Amino acid sequence: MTTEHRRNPEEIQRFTANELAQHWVLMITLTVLALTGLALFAYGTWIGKVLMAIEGGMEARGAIHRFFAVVLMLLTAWHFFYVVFTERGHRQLMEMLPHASDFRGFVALLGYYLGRTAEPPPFGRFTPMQKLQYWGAGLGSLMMIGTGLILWFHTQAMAVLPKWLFDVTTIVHGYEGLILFILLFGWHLYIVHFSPGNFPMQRTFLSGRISRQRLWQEHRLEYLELFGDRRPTPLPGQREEESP
Amino acid sequence: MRIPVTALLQLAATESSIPPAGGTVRTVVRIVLGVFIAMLASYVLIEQIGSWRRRRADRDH
Repeated sequence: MTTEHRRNPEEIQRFTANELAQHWVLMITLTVLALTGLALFAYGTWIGKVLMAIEGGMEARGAIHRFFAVVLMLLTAWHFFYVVFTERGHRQLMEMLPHASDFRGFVALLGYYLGRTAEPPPFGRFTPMQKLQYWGAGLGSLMMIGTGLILWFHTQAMAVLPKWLFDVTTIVHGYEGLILFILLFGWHLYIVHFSPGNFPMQRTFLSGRISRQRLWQEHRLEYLELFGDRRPTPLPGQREEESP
Repeated sequence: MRIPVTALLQLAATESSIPPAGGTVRTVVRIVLGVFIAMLASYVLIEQIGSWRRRRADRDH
């Protein structure tokens, strides 16, 4: 079992320093890429003009965007090697694979929210929403890298690609970026920090640790695998968590 | 070398420039974006309603 007990016995280590570092780099990289991309995508609007001015104009914006695009490519390579060549990373990837039970679990969760069931469905190490965010961000990033490289090396690309494909690439890069932005800065932030039971901030992304109580509520199957059916003791004043 | 950004944007906007392809793609992508936003908003709404109902039920007991 990879999850270790450290310091506070009511908390367990859920993510390693390597995983937290990858998350931090991704968080910073995507934020900068989104802001510098939005400046161009929304160039005709006031927000685009404000962002463009803050980022130092068209050329500086492009340089910053491309620098962080390279960082994203390096991070993708880092993550690829992590999940393919390390035992821990590979196990995480296997846990992330989507199954039909994820869809059923998601429907059951909506049923719980709508008051059809008294208990939320039990989830394993990763909930269906976490899997959706991981694969959405991962595959979305790969698509952004591919289309971004065509736009970056447009002279070479135009020598081998038809113009219509170049135009389509421009559209896909812009809108895919917007979808990623909404997925990560809207839905991901909402689920992790602003949803019921998590507001104002969940600290797992800082320390990699999670309370047993939260693990019981949100990842029941993983909890049972780790601790059997010994229920965790709620912390003083702690209310039952609501959101898996 | 400075890139003549304004001139390039004006050129792209003139009728004499090569018309950009991908009008259908743009429409499809916008529809996907709209559906995506609607789904996320529905999820948040359903979760908030569920949370509100449970809090109300806890209070009533």
